[in-house]
Amino acid sequence: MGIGLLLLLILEECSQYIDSLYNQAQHAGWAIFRRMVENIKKLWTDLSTDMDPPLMPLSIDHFPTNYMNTVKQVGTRACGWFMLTSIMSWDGKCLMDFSMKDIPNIKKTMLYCWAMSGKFKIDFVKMFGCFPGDPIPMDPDYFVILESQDFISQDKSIIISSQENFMHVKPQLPVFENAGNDSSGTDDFEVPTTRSRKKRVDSPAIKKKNTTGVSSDNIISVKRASKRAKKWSLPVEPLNPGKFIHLHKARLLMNFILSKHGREKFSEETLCEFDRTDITGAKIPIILTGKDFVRNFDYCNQLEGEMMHYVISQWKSDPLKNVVFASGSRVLLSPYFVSDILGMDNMKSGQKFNLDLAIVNFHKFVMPGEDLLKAKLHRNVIDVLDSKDWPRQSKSETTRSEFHGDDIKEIEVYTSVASYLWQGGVQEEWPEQLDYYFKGAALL
Amino acid sequence: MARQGVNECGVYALKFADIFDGDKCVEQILHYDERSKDWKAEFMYRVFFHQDNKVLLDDISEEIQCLSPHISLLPKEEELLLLLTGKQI
Repeated sequence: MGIGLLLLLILEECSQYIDSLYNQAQHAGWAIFRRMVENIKKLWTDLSTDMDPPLMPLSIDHFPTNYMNTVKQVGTRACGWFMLTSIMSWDGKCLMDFSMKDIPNIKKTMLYCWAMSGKFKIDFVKMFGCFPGDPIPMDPDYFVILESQDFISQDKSIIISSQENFMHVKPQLPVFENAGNDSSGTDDFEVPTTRSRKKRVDSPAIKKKNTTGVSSDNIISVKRASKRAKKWSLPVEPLNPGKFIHLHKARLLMNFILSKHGREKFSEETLCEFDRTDITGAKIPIILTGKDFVRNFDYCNQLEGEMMHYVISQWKSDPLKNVVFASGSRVLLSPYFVSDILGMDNMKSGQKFNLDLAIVNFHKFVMPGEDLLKAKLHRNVIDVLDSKDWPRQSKSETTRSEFHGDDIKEIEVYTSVASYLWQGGVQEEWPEQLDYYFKGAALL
Repeated sequence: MARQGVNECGVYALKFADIFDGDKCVEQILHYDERSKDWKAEFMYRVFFHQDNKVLLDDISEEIQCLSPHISLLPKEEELLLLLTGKQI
């Protein structure tokens, strides 16, 4: 069925005909609507004088029926969604600019709104995997119920015996063959919406591309965790690109410090002094001289973790930048995480890893307002952003995943440790994969 | 991801941390991006004028006091800095 919407506009003195299936020239649509209009007009005339007060005007026989040229649905099964969306959005003059490709998201939005309305008896936890008001775990399986009906071919019906099965068993949906509608009717949970992906069939990088991000649930897995559509990601403070407002001064400062004059003048001069509290609670003075700045910032010199720590902490206190960190769902850990919390430096010198101390200190380490658990729920995916130059042009047999393999494994371990410590070591057993780092370092 | 230059891992790591919003990088980074010098300058500036830096502004060299984010840079001060740096004015 196509959507049929007949809106009676008393003030405008007309009937408005909106149809998502038939166009203005198709008789089938008009035949139905003319009959509806005639019946309504007759009913109005018959009842108007009997009503108290009488309907005004007493007759609507003179109302013309106007056709609104709107975007048409694809297929014959989206009529209800077009109708509901039109009813909700039409203000008598304008209709929301939506089309078939928006229907999957409209379905999800409506389902969530209905579930939250409190007017229906539903098992919210079973349907969404969380309690009302909590962030929704965006596992695509939870939303299989929302797949477009157009995906189900007419000769293959999916029989679901109970709601429980519906929620936990993802049916094998047949491939949608309508090339003209390959994206418009799909549920977009599996579609990475924000990244441009150039298709290059001749590049070995493409074959292994999916291995650059690994499901955080399984360190052994090389299967890329599914991404959810951006529209359905939990609300996170948007990050906007912005130019550093003191860039001109910054350039002058760096050029001056690195100049011959600056090197000679500031070599031993204390330019920065910080107090840092280490894992044992002891205060360590951090002195940065001109020589330290040259060592970190001179051409081809490497930026050290200490310097990175103070850049990150400055971001978090910068009024122009800290809004994204204040939301709590974006957590940027300092490089001290590796040395202080994991105690890598201590372990190298033969000391043992103190789990209890690490748990206590990790909570102190994460800035107030930052919520590692919240950040983790946002995306169960670890993105490895690696700027190391994989030799794609060479004839080396090293694949990209092999090239980045150790890095990925390290980040996996860091994430597991952070998650473990954040939750206070409440898991029953020490995660096996953590032995990757703590191998040979007996726990206290 | 964009490729880094020699020993620029820390700079690129910070830059990506700065612009990665969880789904995408909100700013385009090029291979061996020439702007890495500016990123370095920004990072140095942020550390230098960090709010927790216990070295008072009055205690540092006069030539660079004028670079503080709280002070307006006068043309003659900029000229002096460029002169000391050995850059053409």
